[in-house]
Amino acid sequence: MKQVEQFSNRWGIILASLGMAIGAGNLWRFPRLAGQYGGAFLLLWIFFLLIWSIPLLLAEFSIGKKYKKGVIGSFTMLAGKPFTFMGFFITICTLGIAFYYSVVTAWALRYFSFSVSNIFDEQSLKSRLIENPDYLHQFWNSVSNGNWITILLYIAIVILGSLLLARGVQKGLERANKILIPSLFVLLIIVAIIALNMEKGLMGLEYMFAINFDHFSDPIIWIEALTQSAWSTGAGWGLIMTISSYSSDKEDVTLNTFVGAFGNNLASLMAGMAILPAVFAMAQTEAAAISYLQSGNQALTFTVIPVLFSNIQGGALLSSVFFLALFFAAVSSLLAMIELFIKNLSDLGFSRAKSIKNVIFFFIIFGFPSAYSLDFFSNQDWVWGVGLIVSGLFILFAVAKYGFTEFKKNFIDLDSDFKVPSLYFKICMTLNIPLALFLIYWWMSRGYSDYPWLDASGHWNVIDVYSNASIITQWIGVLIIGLIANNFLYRKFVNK
Amino acid sequence: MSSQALISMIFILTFIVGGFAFFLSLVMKNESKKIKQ
Repeated sequence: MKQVEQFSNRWGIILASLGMAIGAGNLWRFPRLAGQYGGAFLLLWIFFLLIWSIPLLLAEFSIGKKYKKGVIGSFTMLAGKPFTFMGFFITICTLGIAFYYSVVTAWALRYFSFSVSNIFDEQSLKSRLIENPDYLHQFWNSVSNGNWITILLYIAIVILGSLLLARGVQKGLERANKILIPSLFVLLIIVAIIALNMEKGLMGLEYMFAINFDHFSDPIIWIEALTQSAWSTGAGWGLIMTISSYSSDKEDVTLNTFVGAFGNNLASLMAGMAILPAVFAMAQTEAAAISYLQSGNQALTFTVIPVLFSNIQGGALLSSVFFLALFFAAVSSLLAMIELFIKNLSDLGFSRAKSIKNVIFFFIIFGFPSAYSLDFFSNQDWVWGVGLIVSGLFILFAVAKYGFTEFKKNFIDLDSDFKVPSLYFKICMTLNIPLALFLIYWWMSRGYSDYPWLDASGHWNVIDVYSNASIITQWIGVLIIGLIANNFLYRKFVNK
Repeated sequence: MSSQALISMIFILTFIVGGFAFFLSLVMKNESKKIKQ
């Protein structure tokens, strides 16, 4: 029988789980939300870690460990042949994110080199901003739209990441995470120490941790806390299912999941304690700091952080450290996404070398539009970001079909020294099904488009970046392909 | 920093840092047990 590759030891799989989970969302999205809503958000974020993310991660980890296949294969072996298309949807959804996520990694590297060049530049960034206040926005627009350096960088990152993984899980993923994760934590500690020592730095902590009890009556903060927890921990992505497929047969599901989930939240807290004090210390007024935090989008990371750091002595160095940390976080997550693709191709019978060639080809083809156009990038972020809730719903469905209590007994508890109460798992998983349905409804009702379904002339508004029509068209397209190819996929991925 | 924010910070950090340290210590304990065996 063919020997399936495994992580060399337990630390390898724990570091891979942390690498998968800790990404760009921890370093920017979390600090922004924590600063905006404060301690009330943090309490809800912990609550949803316990009721949404951990139960889903436990399920995914144990499915991958049991069946040792990629997402389509493992999911189908649990859910059954008629539901192969759901595993296909989960895979396409995560790949949809991976294609544009490789571009985020390129942006982080671009801004790291930009910050490093500022250290040695005779004219400081501050004086350049005085001459031209729009300098950073102009730079951002050039980097994110049809910029050939960005395009070449994302292609180089995909090729290098894939070649690293070509060395296998032990020599590639495990070795990379041994360097990336500890370095990331050290970099975050450095930024936090510098930021907390700034004048007004402690004000950031006040905003981060003070609890405004009125916030609990605002539904948006509940949704933001849930989505932040789900997306940051990687619950519902199928990534932990891929990573655990390389675990030993006796791997402890529960303990490893808890270390990964709490480690991810610890990284978020460290990022918050680094960024928020810096925002408040740098802003001219308290109101300006809050306005920075409340107008968040992907561009903010790249347009605000350099401004903030340009105001202090050694700010260019601090900015470099931040973007290096962001790059490390993004790379460690991207590697897990690439591995998800490789594992599915391996299930089809491809050798690792042939899988790598295909991965590079598909990433370059499907990542290119996001590298070329920020609108395309935003559309994909919107479509597949919300699509993760559908992926989570499919995993919940598969576990519910098997039976929550039986699943916990036969999948999760089998080799776990530490066991969570069955009632906890059952209540959380049951509750998560209506929660996922509500979330999909809520996200779609929150659409940013003026014409969510039909455009001004009454046509199906599929071209719009943020329209619900675009989401539904792409989701249904993937589901229809999955349904048509259901039996074919089953034969190829499961019943070879 | 207000006392309310300070208490909240201590609680949240204790829960997350403590939780991470607790589960990590269990992993380390199990691993050292395995090595001894």
